[in-house]
Amino acid sequence: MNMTNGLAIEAIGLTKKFGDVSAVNDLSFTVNRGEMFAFVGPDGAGKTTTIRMLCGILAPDAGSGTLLGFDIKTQSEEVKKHIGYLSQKFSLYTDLSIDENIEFFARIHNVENFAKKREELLEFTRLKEFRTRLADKLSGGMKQKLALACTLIHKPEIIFLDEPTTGVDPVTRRDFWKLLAELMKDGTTIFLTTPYLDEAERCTRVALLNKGKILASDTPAAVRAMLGQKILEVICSSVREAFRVAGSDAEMRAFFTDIQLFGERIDFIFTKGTAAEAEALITKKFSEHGFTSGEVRAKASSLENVFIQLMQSDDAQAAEAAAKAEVETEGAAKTETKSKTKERAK
Amino acid sequence: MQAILALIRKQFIEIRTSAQLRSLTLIAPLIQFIIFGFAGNLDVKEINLAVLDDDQSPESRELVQDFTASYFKVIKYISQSREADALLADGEAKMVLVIPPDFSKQVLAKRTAAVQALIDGADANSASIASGYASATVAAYSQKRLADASSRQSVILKVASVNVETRVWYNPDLKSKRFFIPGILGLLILITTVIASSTSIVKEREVGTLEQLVVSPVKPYQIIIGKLAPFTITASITLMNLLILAALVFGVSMRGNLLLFFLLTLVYLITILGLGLFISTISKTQQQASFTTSFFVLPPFLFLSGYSFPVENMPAWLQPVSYLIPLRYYLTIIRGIFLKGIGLEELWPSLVALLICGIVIFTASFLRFKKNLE
Repeated sequence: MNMTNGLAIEAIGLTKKFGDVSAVNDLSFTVNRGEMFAFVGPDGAGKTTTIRMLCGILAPDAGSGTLLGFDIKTQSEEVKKHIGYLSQKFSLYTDLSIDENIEFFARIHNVENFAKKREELLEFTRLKEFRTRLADKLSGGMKQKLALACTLIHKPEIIFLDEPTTGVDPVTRRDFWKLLAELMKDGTTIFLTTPYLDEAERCTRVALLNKGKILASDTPAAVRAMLGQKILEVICSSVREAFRVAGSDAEMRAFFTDIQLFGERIDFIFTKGTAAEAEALITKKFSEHGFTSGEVRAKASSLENVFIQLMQSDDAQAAEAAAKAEVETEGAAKTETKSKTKERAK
Repeated sequence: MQAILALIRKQFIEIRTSAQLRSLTLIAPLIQFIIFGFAGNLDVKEINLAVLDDDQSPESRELVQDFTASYFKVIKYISQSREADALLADGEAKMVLVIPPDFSKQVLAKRTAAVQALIDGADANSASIASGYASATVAAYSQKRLADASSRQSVILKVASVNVETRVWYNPDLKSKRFFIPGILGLLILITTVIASSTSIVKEREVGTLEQLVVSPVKPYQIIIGKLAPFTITASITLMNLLILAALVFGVSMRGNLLLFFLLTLVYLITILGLGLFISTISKTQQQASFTTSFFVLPPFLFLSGYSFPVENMPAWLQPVSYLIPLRYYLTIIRGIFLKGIGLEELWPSLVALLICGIVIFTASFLRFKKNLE
């Protein structure tokens, strides 16, 4: 085994384009051994594409990467021996039983004595009593756990989990996280993607991903603190109306860096001034417009707040850049037409 | 090696468990074989005949008698010629025999007598067969009259002048079956093998298990062997069963060397498995794979291989196309071994051609498959 550094995963400038769309854009990050690292982002952020490049399913257009020190492009044979990959679809052989599925994945990984490990995994995933059942006849949660067992049979050092809890019921989801916690205790490096920010909070480090780029990457606590934000959470009457008014009020917009609506509450985010000043402003404005603000409390910013804000500013920048580019091409087009007219005039 | 064995084992478990795969590879071909084996028969017997006898003489009745004694069955005697039209038009009669009023007079006067046969030509094949039978019957009748007359009066009697056409269709029942059954066999093996292999590979891609294989240390060639070897075995088992059925149900048994037959069939199987692999690389879903097979593979195999129509009858510009169709060579091989009992001395050109087809198709498909994985 290659022990030259303590890194489980290192990605340098990974890039992948599908046609004109760049799914992953110059992505660099590292994951230490034994870490649980999460990619968080909306659909289409490039999470799956990144995993597929790291696992050697997809060749990157540019950039490089290593897993356990092995190059993902030139040493994929070595890489494959040490990784497990759980795809979003929980890919199993539906016409094989639980036992047969695990046995098959053991054999193609050249695991000689898999019987003991299989018992352990069946115990671990609590699938023992269903072991002769066809995979096709399992519930979604059981399929997910069986897929995990198949991924773990060859004792991989790194496992890649692509949205492992999407479409899984809450109970199974909790069980699954318990399993992951145990795996981490055993020293397995876990790289997962998730659209759920509460899941990301449980990881040792997270990377917020949008449109193929990392917006922020650190421990959940550090990411939460990165914007130096303070938040007042307000629960009030006719919350949507209040949110609309707050958003269009100049004084409020000057004070707060962002105002976000979450169901029945509004989060007022600010960086300057004190909480007392903020509360006074909110109470004043709300009474002016006839809203009664109920509960007002200070709270730490969540990953969700940070992510939404980062995403919005990222999208705004992108829109600005696009608009600028459009103006430029338009300008270019105009000059072109002009020169053509001139030519014609001649 | 262990990985290949694991893949083969896995595929057999899938075939055993999946009703669809099991019946497609092992059961459906047997049932189809029995049904199509009975259907595949071009022999013409009991041709429905209507008779318009305007002569009503002992001589005319004797002629009709001779017709019923051969391949014809008289379904109706009519008295008006326009009735003949109706009978032929609605298909009740395949042929109408018209005997003119002066038939016996001419015959007895030792002159050439004419009879008319109106034949439904919608099915050109049966029509020419019926016409052949009719000519033969009339010829036999003339011979008989001739013999009678000469024995009585030692004078040569001229009766109807007759053209005798000899046709291969005059074979007893068994012969056309013998010709068809090997073809049906080759075609059934083709359909089931191509559909089973292509859909099974596409299914792995759909479900995502192929991706799991890609992230494992298994290599693409191992995936292919593990995937296709089991279908080679099921196809061989099915073929064996079909041979038994051919002998038991249709009384058509192998004339040539069984071992040679299996070896050459193996080459054919590898070729069509390559075709299945190719279809899997161009199909996104299992439905698409079956559709591609039934729409783009089956028709040329059916119509251009010489299975339905002899290649020699095709126009010159079309004949070269049939060289691209592996079934053409396999038909030559299977009919040769089955019917004529010939061996490699005669069959090697077909074997070489089949091998070339196989190698080209398989290599192209494997490269495509490998490229798709990356």
